[in-house]
Amino acid sequence: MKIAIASGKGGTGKTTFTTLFAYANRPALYVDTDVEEPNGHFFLKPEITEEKDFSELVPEIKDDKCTFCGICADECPYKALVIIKPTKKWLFFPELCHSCGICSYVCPEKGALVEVPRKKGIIRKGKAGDVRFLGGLLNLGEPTAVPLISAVKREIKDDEKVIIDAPPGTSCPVVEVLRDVDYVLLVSEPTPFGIHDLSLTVELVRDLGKPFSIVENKYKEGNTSLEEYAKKENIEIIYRIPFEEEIAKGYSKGELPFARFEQGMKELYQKIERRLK
Amino acid sequence: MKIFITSTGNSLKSKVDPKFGRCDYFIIYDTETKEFEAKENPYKAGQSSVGISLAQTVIKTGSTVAISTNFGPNAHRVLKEGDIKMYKADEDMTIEEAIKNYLNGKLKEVMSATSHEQADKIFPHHNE
Repeated sequence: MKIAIASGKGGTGKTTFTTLFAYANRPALYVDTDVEEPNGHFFLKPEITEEKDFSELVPEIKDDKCTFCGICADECPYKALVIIKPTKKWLFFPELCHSCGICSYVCPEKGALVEVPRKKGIIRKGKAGDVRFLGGLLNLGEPTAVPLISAVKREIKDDEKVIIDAPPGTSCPVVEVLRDVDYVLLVSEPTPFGIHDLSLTVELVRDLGKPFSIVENKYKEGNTSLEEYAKKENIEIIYRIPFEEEIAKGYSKGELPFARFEQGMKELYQKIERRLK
Repeated sequence: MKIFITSTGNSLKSKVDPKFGRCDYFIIYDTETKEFEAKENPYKAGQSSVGISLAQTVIKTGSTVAISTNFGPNAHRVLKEGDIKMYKADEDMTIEEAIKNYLNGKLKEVMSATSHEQADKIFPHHNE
């Protein structure tokens, strides 16, 4: 079973919840797909056992074969290639290139434009006790996280308990993570901003047709704003983490109350499992 | 020789547009025929790479000089490699004045791009 934890707004407690949840349900695989700013490893502190480069193909032009016709640059949807006919020069802007391959497809001169691998990030594997760790780390300035997220996903074996930490937001990287999971937990906080962004993510998850529930983080008795939203939208708040200074203090030191939430989160997993049977 | 100038409007009385890639219009002035052509910048509202696109336009139009107030790093790189000389006109100058000043050797050549940090200060809302 694959369960993804998403949020919409950043900083609602995705990683706090996901790492606690993975620990409580060990043996499990924890996957950090927030490749632009992964942080699950700060709390799980896995021993990294394998690290490999993630590369994608980018164009390289051979000056002796290129006729500077400019077709590759004209067809590049991201303007990552510039061909300057009068001075017979070519420029490549790697931070704009999405490795789509159109340039090499349209180049009419054999051997003038070749595709070469360029490292865009890494994939890491490790283990923290009975929690296996898998995650990606994208190089700074890369235009899109999606290809690395896809590559991380390819490392997941289907027969495991898979707990996936999704990136924040509601754009392509999140869609790439949520599209083939079995269940989605949306971690939210009872603040106007939190609820607003949650509502956007709810729309997305509904579009994807995934079963989902809300996890309320920073829950405080008396603040019913998230509860009211959930009621109105007919969504279950399936779990709550209280708003406590101690939890925040621990978080700031990379320490989470694993034991305290173990039983509750084990039951939560079983509840979802029963629901999906 | 053709001069490419970023402009806020479509006449020689218009002011110079201080942003190269996201200028409203551009004017190409031919120093031999003394005629000009004004065009709307098709990349003005583009999501990204607008400087690169407009710099390629400069080269494609056969202009050899580009006048603006601020050239971004990507645009600057393309224009430089295309052997286009870049000159700085203050933004309160009209196109006419900018051309005159250029022809009289009064404009300063732009040797380096306006960085993102500088652009944030000059155009506080340019990324919105």
